[in-house]
Amino acid sequence: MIDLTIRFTGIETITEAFVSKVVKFEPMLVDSSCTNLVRDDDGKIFYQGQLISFESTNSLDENEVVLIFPKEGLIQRFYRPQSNSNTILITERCDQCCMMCSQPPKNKDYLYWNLYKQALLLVEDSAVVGISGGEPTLEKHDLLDLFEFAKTNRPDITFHVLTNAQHFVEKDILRLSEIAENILWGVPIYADTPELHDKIVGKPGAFEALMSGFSILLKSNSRVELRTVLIQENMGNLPSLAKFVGKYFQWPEVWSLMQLEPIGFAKIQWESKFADTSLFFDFVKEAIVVSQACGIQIQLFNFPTCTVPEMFQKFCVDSISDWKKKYLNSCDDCSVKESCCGFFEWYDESHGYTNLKAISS
Amino acid sequence: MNSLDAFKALSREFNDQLRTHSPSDLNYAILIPTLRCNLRCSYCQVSRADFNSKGYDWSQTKTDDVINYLLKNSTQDLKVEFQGGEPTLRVDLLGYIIEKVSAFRPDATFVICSNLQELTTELLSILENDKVYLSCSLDGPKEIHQANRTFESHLTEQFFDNLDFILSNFGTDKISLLPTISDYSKVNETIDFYFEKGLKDIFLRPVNYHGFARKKFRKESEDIKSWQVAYQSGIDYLFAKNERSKHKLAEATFSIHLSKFFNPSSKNYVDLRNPNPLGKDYLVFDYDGAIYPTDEARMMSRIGLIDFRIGDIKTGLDKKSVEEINLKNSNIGDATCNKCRYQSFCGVDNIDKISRYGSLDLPTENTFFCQNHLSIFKFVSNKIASKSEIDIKNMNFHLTGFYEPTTLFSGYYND
Repeated sequence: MIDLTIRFTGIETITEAFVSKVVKFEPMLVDSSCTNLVRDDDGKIFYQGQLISFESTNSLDENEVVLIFPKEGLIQRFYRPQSNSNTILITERCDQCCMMCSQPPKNKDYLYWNLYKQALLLVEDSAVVGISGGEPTLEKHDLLDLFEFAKTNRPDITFHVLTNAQHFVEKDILRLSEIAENILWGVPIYADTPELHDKIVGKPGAFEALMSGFSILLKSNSRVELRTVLIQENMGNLPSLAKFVGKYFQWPEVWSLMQLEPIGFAKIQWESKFADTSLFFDFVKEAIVVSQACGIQIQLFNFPTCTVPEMFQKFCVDSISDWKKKYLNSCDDCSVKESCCGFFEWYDESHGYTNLKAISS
Repeated sequence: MNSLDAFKALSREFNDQLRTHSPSDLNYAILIPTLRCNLRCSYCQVSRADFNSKGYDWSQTKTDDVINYLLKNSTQDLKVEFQGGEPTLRVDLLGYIIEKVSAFRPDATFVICSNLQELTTELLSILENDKVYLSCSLDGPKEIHQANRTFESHLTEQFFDNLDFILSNFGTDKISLLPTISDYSKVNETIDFYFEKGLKDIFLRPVNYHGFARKKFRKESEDIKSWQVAYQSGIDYLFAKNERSKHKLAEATFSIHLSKFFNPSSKNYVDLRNPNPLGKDYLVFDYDGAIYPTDEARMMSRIGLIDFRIGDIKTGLDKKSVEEINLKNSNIGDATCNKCRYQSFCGVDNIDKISRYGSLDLPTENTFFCQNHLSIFKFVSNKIASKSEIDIKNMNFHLTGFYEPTTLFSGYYND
């Protein structure tokens, strides 16, 4: 596991939060006005010549961009070049309360818009930056402002935003269409009926609001990834949802079917939520078949490769973020470990998949 | 209107745009570097020139003109198909064109349509390039292939030896094999043979109405009823065989028509595009430098019935000719098509209409094109309604490559 927030000591000259980039130590660059963090060959980090000490075994990577909060003694790792997942958590507030939420809502915000803007200027070329929550569009105005800033100053950056898409209105269409090509909106749909979808997300009227959100995303030529987390509650609806998707979701780029992350609300009554697709794959298979027939791109997120029948393994994606990914002891002998998503750090073998087996080459 | 209905209406509009969208830039070029051929097939559609005749090959200048035209006008994902005659008679030109085009279009792919009678070392070295594919006629077992194409047993042996060599050295993905069915009673034997060879696809099509076939197979090429009977029983035969055997074979016409019911962006067959703009994304460059909108247009012009040429490699496309052939390029507004439930799945083929009936005025329901595609759409539609597990698994296989049961066909499609 990789810590994304690290406690540190060693910066006393400054109290205001600021943005910094980790650069390689070069003697010529020592300069007291420089706000960079300097990394030496041993992985030691210096700020203006002073050693920073961390309360963690992790060090920072070269070219990493961080937010530094000196008063709190915290470094927030904003963008790690080697990572498969760099995400800004905007807020933990949400207007839904999904029964399998991995990050249950809290009344807590991280609205450091100016820091985010400065940090975006420092990330590597063609970076992909994730935005998540809570529900980030609860701060829609500032969020769109951030995207417009990036579009102007760093048009090479693309954003992947996880949103319930229920806060867009007709008059957002123009703004959305101007940033359309730089944003991929990851929007969940859990069922093709209002009753079931609303029940899962814990919000009456959510499905109705979602449909109007989809209309706005479609009208603004926005890029969309459709996302469906699979739990026992919606597994039976999946074949029907697939036909709904085949018919009305030709315009999104891809449909991601996602296995459950065992944390947050998902862990509560896990046995009644987790759908063991290593035992029963038929409905997922049906969704794959329908989507292939209709020309819909489909991918399986968080499905360890060995839990999927061989002929459908090509749809598995290495989807679990590096900082919370692990492999099991039995994975050591597996020939496809490299391309497999692995398991969430909090995966518990005693309550997990029934059929797991290292794949021999 | 509630938000779900409003969203559905918007999505339908989007699907309609997908269906009717055609690319406007050249992405498919058929090149005829020579019209000469070393065979004299009974049904030759292009009225090939004799092996020894003069004046049917591209000069170096013409070859360079074509390459320059392609590099100036085509998309990055250009596909080049070498037709003939027998294009490998000029394997020197093929190598030259592939090298020049690839230098500027690294994603370009090439298909050599060959009769596979001669596998020269030059040809084999071109085939080492994994952007180069083969497309060949294979009418079925030796008797059929020989009766239609090779006539002499040593030529037949030569072909089958070469075919086996290609299959075992390059694999089945290197080559696509196409039968031409001229004896409608022998469809099943051809299917059997494709199974035997372990091939993945077959394209069952009737003998064409062009070139030599126009005279020799007049009856067959007009007899849509017999063809459809043969085709449909061929499909049933293939379905039953897929159920029994480990190896599975897919039939292209069936896949194309079936996918129209589910995938609004499936445009894998130019005849079923609507509208079907000619002279845009798809062009044919003939041995004499003439540019045609389709290969059939070249064949028609070759027998001197009508001139479908829309330009020349020296002067480029003639805008006026292109406009003319695009006059009625959509089935929307056509009296027959407007009443047809398959209108949005179907297309237009004006070249075929003019070639068979001399004008575009004949009511569409009386055309071969309409009767043929309508029969297939009806056939597919009946299959979709079928409750037979064999049909369901076969249809799934034709759509997705998975030979598996599915609920996809219970009353659902994208209309």
